[in-house]
Amino acid sequence: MTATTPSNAVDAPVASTSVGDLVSQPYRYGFVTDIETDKIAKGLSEDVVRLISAKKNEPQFLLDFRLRAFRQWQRMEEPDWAAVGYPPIDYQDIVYYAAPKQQEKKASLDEVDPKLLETFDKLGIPLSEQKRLSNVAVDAVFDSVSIATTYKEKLAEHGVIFCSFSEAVEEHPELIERYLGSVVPIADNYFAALNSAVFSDGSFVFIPKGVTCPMDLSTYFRINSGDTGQFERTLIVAEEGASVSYLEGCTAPMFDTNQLHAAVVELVALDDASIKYSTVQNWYAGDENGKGGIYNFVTKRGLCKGPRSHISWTQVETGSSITWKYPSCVLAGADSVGEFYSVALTNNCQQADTGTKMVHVGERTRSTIVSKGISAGRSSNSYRGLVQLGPKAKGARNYSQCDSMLIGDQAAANTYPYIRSQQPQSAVEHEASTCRISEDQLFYLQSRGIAFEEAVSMMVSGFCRDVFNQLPLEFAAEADKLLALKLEGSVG
Amino acid sequence: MTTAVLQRGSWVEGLLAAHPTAPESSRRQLLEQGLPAAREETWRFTDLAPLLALDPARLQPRAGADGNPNAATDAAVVRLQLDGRGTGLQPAAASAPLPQGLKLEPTPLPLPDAALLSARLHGLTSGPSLQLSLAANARLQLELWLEPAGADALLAPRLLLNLGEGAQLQLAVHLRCNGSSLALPWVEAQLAPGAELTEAWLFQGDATDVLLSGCSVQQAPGSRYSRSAVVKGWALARQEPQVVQSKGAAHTQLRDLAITTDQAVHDLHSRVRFEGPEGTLDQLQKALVDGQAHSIFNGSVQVPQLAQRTDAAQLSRHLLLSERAKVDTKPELEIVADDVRCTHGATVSSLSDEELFYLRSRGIDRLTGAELLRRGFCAEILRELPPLLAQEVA
Amino acid sequence: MTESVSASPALLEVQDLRASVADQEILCGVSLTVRAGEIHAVMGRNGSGKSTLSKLIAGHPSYTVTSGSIRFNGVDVEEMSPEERSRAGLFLGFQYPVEIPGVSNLEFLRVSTNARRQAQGLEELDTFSFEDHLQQRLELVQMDPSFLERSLNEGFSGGEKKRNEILQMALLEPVVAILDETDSGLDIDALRIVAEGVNHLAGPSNATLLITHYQRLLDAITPQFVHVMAHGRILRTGGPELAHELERRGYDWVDEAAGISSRQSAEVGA
Repeated sequence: MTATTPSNAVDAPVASTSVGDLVSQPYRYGFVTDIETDKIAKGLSEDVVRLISAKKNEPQFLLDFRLRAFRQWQRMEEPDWAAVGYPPIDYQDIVYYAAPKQQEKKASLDEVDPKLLETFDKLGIPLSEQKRLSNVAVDAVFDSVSIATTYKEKLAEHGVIFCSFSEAVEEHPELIERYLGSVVPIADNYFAALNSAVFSDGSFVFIPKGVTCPMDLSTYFRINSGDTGQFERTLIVAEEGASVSYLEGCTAPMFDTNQLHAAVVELVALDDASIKYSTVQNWYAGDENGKGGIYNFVTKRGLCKGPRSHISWTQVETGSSITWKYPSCVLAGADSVGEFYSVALTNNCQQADTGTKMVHVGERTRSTIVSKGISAGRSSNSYRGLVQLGPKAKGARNYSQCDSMLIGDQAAANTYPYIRSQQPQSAVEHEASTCRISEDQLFYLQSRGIAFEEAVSMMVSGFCRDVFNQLPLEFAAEADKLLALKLEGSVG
Repeated sequence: MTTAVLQRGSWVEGLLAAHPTAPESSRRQLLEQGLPAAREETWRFTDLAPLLALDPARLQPRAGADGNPNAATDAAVVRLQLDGRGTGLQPAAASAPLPQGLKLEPTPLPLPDAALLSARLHGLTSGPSLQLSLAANARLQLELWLEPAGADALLAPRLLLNLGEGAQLQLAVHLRCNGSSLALPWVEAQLAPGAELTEAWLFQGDATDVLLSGCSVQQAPGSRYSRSAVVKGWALARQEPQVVQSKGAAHTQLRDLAITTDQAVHDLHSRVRFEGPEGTLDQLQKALVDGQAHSIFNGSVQVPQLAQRTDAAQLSRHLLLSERAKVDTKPELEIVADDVRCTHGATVSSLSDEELFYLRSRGIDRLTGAELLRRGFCAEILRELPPLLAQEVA
Repeated sequence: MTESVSASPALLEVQDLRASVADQEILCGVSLTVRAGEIHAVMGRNGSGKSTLSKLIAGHPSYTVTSGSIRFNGVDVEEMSPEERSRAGLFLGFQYPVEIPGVSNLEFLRVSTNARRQAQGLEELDTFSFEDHLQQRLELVQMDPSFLERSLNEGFSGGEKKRNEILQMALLEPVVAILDETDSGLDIDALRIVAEGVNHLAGPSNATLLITHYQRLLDAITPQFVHVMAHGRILRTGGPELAHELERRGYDWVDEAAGISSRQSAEVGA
């Protein structure tokens, strides 16, 4: 490579057909739904926490949980170790509860405000009986509340509970009380504590003993209000021998301001249970100058509690102005397995600090990490990971692979893979590399008649193949398209 | 080891009291910045207790031990050793004549980067000092034997190396402490275009000794810097080599081996920064961790935007041999340039069962096989050392 | 084995050997007797269990015998460590010899040769006499002495690794040598060198067990007995003509003859 001069980089041989000439497609989901909402006043205090709890008619244990979390949060400091920068967040300038105005959650979809149904239609998530997806049950969350969940009855026949978090609090309080906060304790970190105090809604999944969930479950998160924080809470419990595949999707309108999204996801897998959690995150990322966009500060953790349990995280992170997210596995049960497959793409001024923690507690636990970071524009993309092998994790194994692809010379790719081992009868292996799309590769593809932009997107999706292979089929195609869309205008 | 562990503040005060003649600026710096707090990110895993267990009032320069070096193997080598007071260097019996451009008198030197603890502590002392300016295309082989004769030694050698264009220096340093001592070697090197500096360090210490080693190297384009260091023994041994390729286009090679047993804490915090294009780095860090030892590696590689076509490879390999030992390893790659090749890898494991089986299937018993594998693990680094130093390790 | 009782003593007797890895049975009752002066070939496709058989004989710790026995020179080897088996004269030529960086090839060869010599009641060789001892054997495998200075197998090509295996065999002078897929990944020249080495070392008092899935090696080393393995069993035993028949008709023929469909065999394949 030493013979090449700087001007010979990507743009030179392909200047005439550069992707830079292509019109960068606008964010497709940036519209705002004009709907009357029930919002409480901005600001956060113990009274606000009580008000949220009261509005949701919550049992005492949940109010206590929120108040404990709030008091913790007040004593905590916002973390500053991530490789991201943003102006201080004014936590008093955020609305902590916003719900579309309709009395109660409707028994039937026919009664849901047509504007909401229309919104989800536009997002490609039709909810109505006739049009809804045939193989996926969907919980649709709009700002702070869940507005509809499809296929509830069909799932109930199998004993599967899939509903909004609020409904679960009403109908299955004993399950909530038992598992809420059992994986992510309230004081786990600043944003988790905040979420625990003010979370409004989210999804709850319970797969009973021995049941393989008959269809994929999915939650679609939509932020609509410009000044509202979204603090949803997801809890998935798979009992002994149960298994489920869960998908999460997210979008938000384009605002000049930043919206805070601080979610908590907890997964619990008992003996021989298996949970596969996939995310395609496409929050609004801000404009090309970094104005606006979502701050996505999310805590996701799974507990492989039982022996031979299995938790797999797959994420495709393309949106948000800032991503701070480390979906993790605590491998407590012997022979349990944790997996993390991630594609994180940043463009323009986006910042992502994402990765995973694999905490090996039990014997012969195994984990795999595959992370693909793509940085374009002036963005910054960091992989931060922890692989920890405790003194009892005899026979544990980890393999990690973190690759970065840089597009353009102003994007940053950082890698901070951290390994801590206290167990000699174990093996940890980490590999990382950095690459770019070389002009030779592009030229080769182009000389075979492949258009420039198609060549770029072929190479990017080739780079991400190991991760896309983990996604459910329809999601994989979607992710591929999304990546191509996000990259337009970034090369050349 | 009867000394109680002092609080950080009183330890610093004790050290200051023992060095009343130290320059005011250095005293102030140490007072203001003190010892790193446990929550500081770069000290998070490194327990300072062995340092605090040293009695600051007793730490003094000590005369050099006799008998080093044992035998002259090469008449062309300049050999220096600690003098009778332990504050200066003198030619050893078998030394070639001192070349021009070599100064051994202590000279007031500006304080090095006080962000590093080793530098802050260094500022208090007037340890043996060596300034070497090597003219263009000059060549020199230099050996230093730094071993205080007794315990409670404060050994703070300072080397300032300035290599002119095309100059070549081969430096071999044998540094050894003999109980309740603190060693603070500090090296600053400037490499002009085409210069080559090859350093080999052997740090040996007793189970009560503390090593805080700092090194700051500036490389001009076309220069080559190669540092190999082997650490054996010590209660706490921390090395902080920092290399900057000021305009890129230079080659840096770092080789480290820590043989960590008993309760030793071995820590390598390296930083390599490329401030121009076409630089290369080849880094291999290895540690053999046994007993209740703790090995820490933090390897930072910085490739900013102007460092196009950097080729950097970093590998960290830990052999974890005991249930009570532990390893913390963290590569840190920060890359902004797009046309680069940067790879890094880290492994932590015990001896390979497959390798052991292969040896056993050839009639080699388990213990001998394990010993062969351990030696093989170390050999990759040891062969970079001059034979005289490598022998000391075996 | 129903061959007429031969005069030469049995060196290796495998009796109804069963073994499993991770709860899956890999060997389902293998019996095999190898006598002094004989060359046997075990053939079978990948996953038939033939490599497992060789690892079990050499005592690999990841494989355990669930029932049956392996006797070497009349002694049950179950309680013997891999090194004891090697010193007693059992040799396994690995399909994939491991690379061990930092361990010098020369030192390794000397330590292992002396371990064997000690067991044989021979004098240990010092550095100098070992090098003489080594010299003739290097010529046998046409290996460049520079390989001795390198780390064990590190950066060796496939052919170089296999020649290094044969060199070890020549040094250890085994009673029974098992060569696991020694022909795989070899070009014609390397294959010839390896075959010559094996033929040279074969004598009336020792025996060789070749494990392979191609006829190729058997053109250069002629076995008296050919065993076809599939699904963890020896399905057929015959003379050299069996290897030719297998080459012509493929492994499916053996399956059919044994009444096992190829679909089943795909499932058993590891």
